[in-house]
Amino acid sequence: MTIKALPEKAGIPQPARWASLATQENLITSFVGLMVAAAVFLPLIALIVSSFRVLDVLGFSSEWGLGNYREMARVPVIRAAFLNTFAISTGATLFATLVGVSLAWINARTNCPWRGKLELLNLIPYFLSPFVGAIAWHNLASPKVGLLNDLARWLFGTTGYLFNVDNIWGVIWVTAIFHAPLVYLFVVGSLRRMDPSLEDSARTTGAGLLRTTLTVTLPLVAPAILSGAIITFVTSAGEFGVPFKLGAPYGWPTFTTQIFTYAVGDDANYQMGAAMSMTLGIITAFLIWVQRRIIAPRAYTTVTGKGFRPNIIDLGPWKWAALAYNLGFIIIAVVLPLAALVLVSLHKVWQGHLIPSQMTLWNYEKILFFWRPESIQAVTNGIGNSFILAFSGATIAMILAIAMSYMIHRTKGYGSTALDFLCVIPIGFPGIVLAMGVLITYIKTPIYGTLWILLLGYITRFFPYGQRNISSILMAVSEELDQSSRMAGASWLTTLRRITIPLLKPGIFAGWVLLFIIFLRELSISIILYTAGTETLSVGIYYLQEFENESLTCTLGVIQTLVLLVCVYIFRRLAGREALTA
Amino acid sequence: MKLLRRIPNVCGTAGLIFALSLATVAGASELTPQEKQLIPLAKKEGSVISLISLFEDRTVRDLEKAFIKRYGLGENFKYVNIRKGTGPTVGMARMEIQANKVTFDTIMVAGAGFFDGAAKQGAFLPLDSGQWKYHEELAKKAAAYYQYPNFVVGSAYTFQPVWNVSCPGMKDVNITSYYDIANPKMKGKTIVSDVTKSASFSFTTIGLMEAGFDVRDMWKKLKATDPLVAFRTEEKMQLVINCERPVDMWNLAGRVLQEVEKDPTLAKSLRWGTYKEGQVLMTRQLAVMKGAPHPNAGKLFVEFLLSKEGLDIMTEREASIISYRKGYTPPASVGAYALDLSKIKVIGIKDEVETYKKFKGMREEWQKIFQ
Repeated sequence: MTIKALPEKAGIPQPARWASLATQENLITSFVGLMVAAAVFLPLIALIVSSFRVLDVLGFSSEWGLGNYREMARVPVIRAAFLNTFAISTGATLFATLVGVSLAWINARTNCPWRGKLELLNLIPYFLSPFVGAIAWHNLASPKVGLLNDLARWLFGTTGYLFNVDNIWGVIWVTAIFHAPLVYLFVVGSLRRMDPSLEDSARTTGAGLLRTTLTVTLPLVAPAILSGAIITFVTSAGEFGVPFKLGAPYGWPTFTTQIFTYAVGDDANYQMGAAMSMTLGIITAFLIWVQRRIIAPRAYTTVTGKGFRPNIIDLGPWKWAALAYNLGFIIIAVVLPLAALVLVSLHKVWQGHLIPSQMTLWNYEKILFFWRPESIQAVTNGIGNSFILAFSGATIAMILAIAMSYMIHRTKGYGSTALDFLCVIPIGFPGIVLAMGVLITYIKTPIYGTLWILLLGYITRFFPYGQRNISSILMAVSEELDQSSRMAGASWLTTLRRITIPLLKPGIFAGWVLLFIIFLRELSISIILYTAGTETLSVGIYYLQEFENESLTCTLGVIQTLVLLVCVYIFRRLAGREALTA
Repeated sequence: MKLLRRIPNVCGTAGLIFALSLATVAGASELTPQEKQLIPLAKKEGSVISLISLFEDRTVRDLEKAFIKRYGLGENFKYVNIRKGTGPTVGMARMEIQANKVTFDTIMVAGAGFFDGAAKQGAFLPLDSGQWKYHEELAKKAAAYYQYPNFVVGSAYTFQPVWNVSCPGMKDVNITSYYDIANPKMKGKTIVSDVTKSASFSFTTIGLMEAGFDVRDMWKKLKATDPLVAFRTEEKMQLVINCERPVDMWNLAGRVLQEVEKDPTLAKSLRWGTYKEGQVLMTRQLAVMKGAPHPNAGKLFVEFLLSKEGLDIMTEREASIISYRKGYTPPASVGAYALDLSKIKVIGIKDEVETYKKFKGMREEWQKIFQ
């Protein structure tokens, strides 16, 4: 259905051209577009400009130059950090892809028992905090005090250790298990939508299960696998919490830990931090561009749009091995870390081994009973602020996401392409990079030192996640419904309120809860932008680790994990099974 | 004056030796005219925000109560402390000064170079202190770096070895020298402090170098023990307690006290000592910021931190506080954890501001070995 312009009625004065442009729709969408553009571009411009300002020795004045970039090339630890980041991202991507694809295949294409129930559990690590995961894994598998090593020594009477996560391999391991669900999400949808006739043809020509999977199934979902792998690479390169806990203290600094050191460390050389941020940001943004423009569109050439129900492969007795593999992942990624956190948190002072006689809930009282004198202000602030930020941030971000999605999918021309591009940029820049830009941009404004600057950082970085949720539904809703409403005389706002938004409700709720979860566990942005009174939950965990002890750190880690698990459950109930799959 | 009875001048330039008499405590609880003048103004401002890396939450609570009580500021008065590491403390202050957007009132941190640079920028409010006169004499004798009225020195501290004798292979360990740690027997047991993130670790290193100690040789031997690089004293204390790394080269006796208060059984296992090569004494400068949200409350808080009442709380809660206040003796409760400077070799920093300029080169050397 198309709308034709009505002929002008003779004698009736026509509004001026400028007045006809000033519609509700144009005004609101233009305003939102400009606001988002400013939020995204101002920090990036500030970063670029700052990266060419070179700070003097005393740190109070700067001059133009390429000194920061020269310094980056000269200082060995920055070069090492760059190489470590590349190695960690590559290792984590390979491992996460292997695990994610295999789990997706088991769940989407085999008769593995309980696969419907396992899917939710497989996704849980994606929603949890990798920083807390790193703390948990340190307590599980550090050479001297790791609980698994303790258990092994007790069982086998050995004196050495079996596991060691306090190195680059540990960073890769923990990063990978937290990102495997991301690859899973990209691949599982493609596997479910795949045309079964392609595999049937292979099977009828005599190919076995393994050969069909390797030569037909996996190549068909290769674009989805590549997309997931690139996103994992980018996210791993921008990860701060895991290398901060398991890498940097053991001689494996990364780019993010170095940015943190330069930006808020002793030098307070945020100009140098900006140069490092730009370097990292350009690399990750380029990779995101490759994923969005080259790889993602190919996904639709191998997976057709018809509603297929792919064959379920009978694994025979191997289905139990598949179940064990899947359960193994859940135990490693969720159960063991959570158990370690709980055990450590039950000790007033953790001495590296279980002391049942000293187990107490004292740490929980100290953290949760904020009215008591022994409570910790940074933690009390952190819990309250995180809920405020998560609630308000998710709400504002979803409003922006609705407006942006509408503009992208209901308007035509260069404007929508530009807006689509605008929504990709924040995904391409790691949180710590964007936070550096936000800090430099707004430090002289009244929002510095308040929750507003955190809110701005969160929304700018993460609103595209909500926009993706809305867009996927908006594309499925016919434009004719909107047009009918407008033809019947409803204004744009009324149409939006009474037609479009009700149709988008499931996507809005799912997107809102997803952002709520992301904001509750956010660390990379908060660690750069917080000050006294504006701590967040993750900053509270960082604070406890830096200024208190392991037991209290684990206690807050348990609390954050439990809150996130409840949110995941709600998200799943609201969003349904397919909400996140690509 | 037990703590500062004798500080030998191993640097040979600063006149650090000062034998101190056990003078009477001067005007400990009496309000000075300056304090009296500031009280109504501070009350009107309603709160004070400090940027001090040292204080744990309990110290902040006790200081708040005592501050309100001493000056009758009323129950609604609030004291907030921003707690970051020494490096990030200096970093945050410098960043806010550059941006001309200061969010705190007072700052106390070991950072002569920073204070010197910031004073040149006109970043501090001039003080008119009634309490400083009780500190100035000893601060001058100790060659502590201050620029009254821009900034004064609040206290001093020194890093000490801390270890855990209950960990495997640690039973008979006693540390009195850096080479007791930089020793093949300590392989896998040591922590090295990250000098790149901390001005005070950097000061200590350069202080030792200036005193003629071959730090580079010690570093190489320490590296052979496969040390873990860590930063915060609290975090390192946890590593010592759980035997992950039972020896920390630079920590504070005060941290031991804080952990023992949480779990008294730790008193049997945790030990602290001093180095025969010398203890580098660092001073914490103290100032009120120009553009502070509560300038008068900030000034009054500086007076409080310099007063006997303020010092008592700081010393009791943090222990590792060395005061320049004439005639000051710390509360008896921290006696066992307080340093007796008369029995150890104390190293002063020759020129605290110039030392700052040596940080970069020293840190790069350190990074080559440890990172």
